Amino acid sequence: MPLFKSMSLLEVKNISKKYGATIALNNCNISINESEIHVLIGSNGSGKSTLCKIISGSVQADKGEIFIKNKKTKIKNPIDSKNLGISTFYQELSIANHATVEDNVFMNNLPSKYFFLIDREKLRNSALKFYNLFKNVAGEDFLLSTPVNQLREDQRQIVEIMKVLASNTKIMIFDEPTSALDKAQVECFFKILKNLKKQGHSIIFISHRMNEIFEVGDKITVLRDAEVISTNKLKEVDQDTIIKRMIGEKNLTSNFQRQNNKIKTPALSIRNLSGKNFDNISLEILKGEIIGIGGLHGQGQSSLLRSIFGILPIKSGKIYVENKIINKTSPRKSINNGLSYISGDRKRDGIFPGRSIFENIFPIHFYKNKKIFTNRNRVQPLANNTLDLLKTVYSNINQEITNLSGGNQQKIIIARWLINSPLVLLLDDPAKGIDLSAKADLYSLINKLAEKGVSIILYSSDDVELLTYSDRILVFNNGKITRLLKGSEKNKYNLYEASYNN
Amino acid sequence: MQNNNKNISLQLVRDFPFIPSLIILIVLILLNGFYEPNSISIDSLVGLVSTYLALMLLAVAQTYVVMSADIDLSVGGIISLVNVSIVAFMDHFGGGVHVVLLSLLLGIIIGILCGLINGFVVAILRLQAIVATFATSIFFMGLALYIMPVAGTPASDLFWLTYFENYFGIPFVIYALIFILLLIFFLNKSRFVTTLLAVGDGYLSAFQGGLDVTKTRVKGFLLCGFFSAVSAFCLTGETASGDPLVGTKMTLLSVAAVVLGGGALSGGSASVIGSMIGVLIIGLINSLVFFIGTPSEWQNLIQGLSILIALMIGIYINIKAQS
Repeated sequence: MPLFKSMSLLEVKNISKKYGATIALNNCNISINESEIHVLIGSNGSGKSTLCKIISGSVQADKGEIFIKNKKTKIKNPIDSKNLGISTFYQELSIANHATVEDNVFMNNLPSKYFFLIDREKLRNSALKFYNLFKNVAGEDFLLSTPVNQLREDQRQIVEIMKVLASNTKIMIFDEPTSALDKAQVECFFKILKNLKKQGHSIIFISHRMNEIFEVGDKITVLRDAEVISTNKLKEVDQDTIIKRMIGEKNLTSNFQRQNNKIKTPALSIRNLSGKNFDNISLEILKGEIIGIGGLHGQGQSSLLRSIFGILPIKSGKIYVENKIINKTSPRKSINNGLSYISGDRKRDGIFPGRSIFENIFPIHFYKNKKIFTNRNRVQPLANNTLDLLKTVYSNINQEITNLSGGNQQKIIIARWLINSPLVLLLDDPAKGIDLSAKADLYSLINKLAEKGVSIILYSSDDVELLTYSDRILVFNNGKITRLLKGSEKNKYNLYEASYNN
Repeated sequence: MQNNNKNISLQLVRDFPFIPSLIILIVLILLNGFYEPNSISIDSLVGLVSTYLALMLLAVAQTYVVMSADIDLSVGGIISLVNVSIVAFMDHFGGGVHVVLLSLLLGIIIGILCGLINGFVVAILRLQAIVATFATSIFFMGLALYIMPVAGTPASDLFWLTYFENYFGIPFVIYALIFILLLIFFLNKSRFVTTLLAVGDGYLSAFQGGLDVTKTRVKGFLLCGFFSAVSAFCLTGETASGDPLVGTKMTLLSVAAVVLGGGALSGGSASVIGSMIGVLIIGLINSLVFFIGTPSEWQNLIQGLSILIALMIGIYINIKAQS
């Protein structure tokens, strides 16, 4: 199809990218035409953001080629990509917190006078053009002279949008630009997008909201497990087809039965809990039960677990552990009450780098025991048993933890919490970035714990894990529980539908 | 109404992070005046500035690297190296006008070269700034000791006489101060400083946003080297001699001054004027301790405690303003 080809502005061919052992992108092809809004969709970790980052130069592909106007190009860094006419809205935002809105919008291209001074007047006038687009929807406290760190999340996203618009490049990439925006803001943004399309710009747009995709998109590419599954005109497909493609061939259903006698006493219950990123959550977990928390990434799941454990503050609501109310949570208090929190972000929340395995395992044990002195020979067997149970591979307990592989590090962190058997385990994406066999070991252990009567709240970004091991699944959307899946309802289709609908 | 006033003052602190230190400075001036009425005269204030001008410039130098979330522990080394180099140069070629001017040029070049070395190891080789610049400081100090093994070579008369001269009834240091303030004023309005601060706010987001992080950080170190050299000129004027160890004590004072002036060592937020005020606070604490009549064996302890308290007040107000 030579005619079709000549129209494509950006073409990505056979792009592959690996992060360590995980494949982020595998042989991906995508082509974006002029005057087109091209939607990328796929579940967590399907490779959308990696693809965007490769096109915008902030990540280098291992293999593959990028063509712009049919000319092969190398994009080594974001500056190259800017020069080639590509600008990007980054999910994690690329704005400087202490700088003002207008400085941020033109940070790459500050207008100057007398060689090196900023031309404030010109800057203000150029920024006003973009400011006026959002003036009515961004809120009264949104001024061009406000430092970005004083803005709300939605306003910060608007700044990032303005930054992309100001670069006025032929190709614009928006990686989840609407996640914090309200309805009016989204509409305003879409009007701008449609205008840009009319002017001949090509736009890559990522969103998890189905209605948005159908409203604004021309074409849709579905990614699944690091591969491009299909590209269609949006007119030719419906929501059902898209979700089915995201899931894959089989609609995984789980009817997993655990060998336990289901003691019907609640271990932990929370009532109307509100906090950062989640609102009015109530749930009750029985002894020996595994509750899964699902939904798209960053819908408040992690915040909920961190708030229950006392890492983040709670705005309102009550927490009961074994029917005893907990006032003023803090991690220390939670540990005393038998809660454990294991995070998949081991670098931030887990390991003590540079310290031995022994030192990494025992702090919680020592804290709970409240003894000043201890006999190393007496406690060490405790660690050995737990580590064997987890099939941890290590040569010596005095080895530095950072010498182990990611999966084994994570096992050490888990062992830390299991030596004194916990009442409730809060698992915050515990298998993130560890290999398959380690994952299997981990989940078989989680299962055994549940059989012994430990209650487990499991948040996982991997839907298969969630569906396989949970007794019930609470689907989170925008900080709220939108659906409860149990029994035969627990399948991938229902999970996706609840996650992507809004 | 009261609440509103409070908001306005907090807003002011947010926009001008050096305001708490300015208040501390004024209180200290008044306290000094209370215990020693003479200290509040124009003459003694000029004296204060002239004593601390070198350190003020060094704090300015430090601020530009702190802006981009780096730190430079070699500024003292740079001062020593520039000091002995220009003194030795003037000593060797005689103290004529041309030689003095050439020595200034030489000093600036040395300062910028030192900054280039720091920028290279920190931003390009990606070594930890705190360790790498500590190492280069030893290197610079070693060079200084090689050039002038013992202190005491006098600077050319022309050099220090100019520094102490009055022109139209106004001392030279005031002209120097005004010149520096103008330079800083324009730098503050420059694209470069805005970019430097944006880079300091977060390397990753700056990189993704299309800024050249490495180049910007290197330029920060170059500017730091430049101001360290100018600081060395003032110090040479003040002491009128060369001393290979003269900068040793000044490095950490410059860092303290940046923090006293409301700068964040985590980058993205630092004020050059604030850092200069920070130096004056350190200076005034020193003189106040003296005026109060603290016994000499207690002076260091009281100075240290007072600096600590000043730091805490500044940080406390800034935290209040941010939340």
